[in-house]
Amino acid sequence: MSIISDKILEISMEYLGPAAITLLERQTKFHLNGLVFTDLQSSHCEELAKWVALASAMFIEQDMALELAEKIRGLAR
Amino acid sequence: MTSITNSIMTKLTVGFLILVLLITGLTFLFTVGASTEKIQESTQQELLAIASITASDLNGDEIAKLRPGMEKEILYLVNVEQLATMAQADNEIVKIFTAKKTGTGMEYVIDSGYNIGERDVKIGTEIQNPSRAMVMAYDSSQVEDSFVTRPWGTVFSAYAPIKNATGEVIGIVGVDMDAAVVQDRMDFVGQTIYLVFIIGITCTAIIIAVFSRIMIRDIHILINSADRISHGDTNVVISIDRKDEIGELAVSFKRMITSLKILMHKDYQP
Repeated sequence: MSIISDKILEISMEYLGPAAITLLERQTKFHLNGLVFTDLQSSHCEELAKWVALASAMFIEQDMALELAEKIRGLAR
Repeated sequence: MTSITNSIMTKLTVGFLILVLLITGLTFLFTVGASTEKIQESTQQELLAIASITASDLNGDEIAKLRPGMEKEILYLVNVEQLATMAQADNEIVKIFTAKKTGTGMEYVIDSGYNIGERDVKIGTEIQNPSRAMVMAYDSSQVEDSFVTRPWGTVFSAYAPIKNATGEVIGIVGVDMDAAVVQDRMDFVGQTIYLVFIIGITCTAIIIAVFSRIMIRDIHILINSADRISHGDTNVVISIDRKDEIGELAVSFKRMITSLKILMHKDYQP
């Protein structure tokens, strides 16, 4: 697992629990051209953050989803 | 649903109340006892001061001349007026009198008559069972430790020796305060502390009940949410925003529900 994947998973689990990996894998697979989540790089963070915000909003409050997305986006900086 | 007797709220409230009752009860008992004692002491000092001042103002040589049957003579009336004036200075004083020792006991000499409307005793009226303080007042000022009964009622008294020009003690002056006044003073302190005690207990009970209710209310939210999830309904919203342990529990619980929702969602099925 790449360092960035590890960090994103760690942050996401705070919001989504142990199923965070399932959600992240689906986002990278369907929205980042079939990318495997563990191969994620910093350059993918912006795009992933956008899709995580949309997907996670189905399960957690909107503001929390945006907060999570912002944290993922922040890892690229 | 947990019964009221098994509820944490009931246990917390009762537990805290017992603790508060125990602490305040002991404080109450100690405070009332100490305060009542102090009130009695201050009343004794007040009476002693009046008795001493009155005794020093009286003319011992004149009083020594008074004999039974002289109640209408100027010598007697002048002294009555003087004692009455002293008694009027403090409206809680029932009567000021003088007395002297006889061969077998003690007898009244002057009765100020103030606050009673009439003189209850004449010169030479025997004092039934004079108290130890009365007898000892020939040596120095004394105060009663408890209430005494006189022909004019139950009183709290202090005595001081009356001396003649040569310094010889010719009798005593007694200052009587109505027992009800002393009792009222002591009761007032007790009642005030009792009132504060009741208000304190009531406020504590309300605070504990409200505190317990708030805490239990949030636990109930978690219980209801868990119950709904256990029946397959993951569409639950947990609106608990606290910074304490229950808040942490709620955050963990929300995270667990979120994970369940993700795993149960059709898009995330393998």
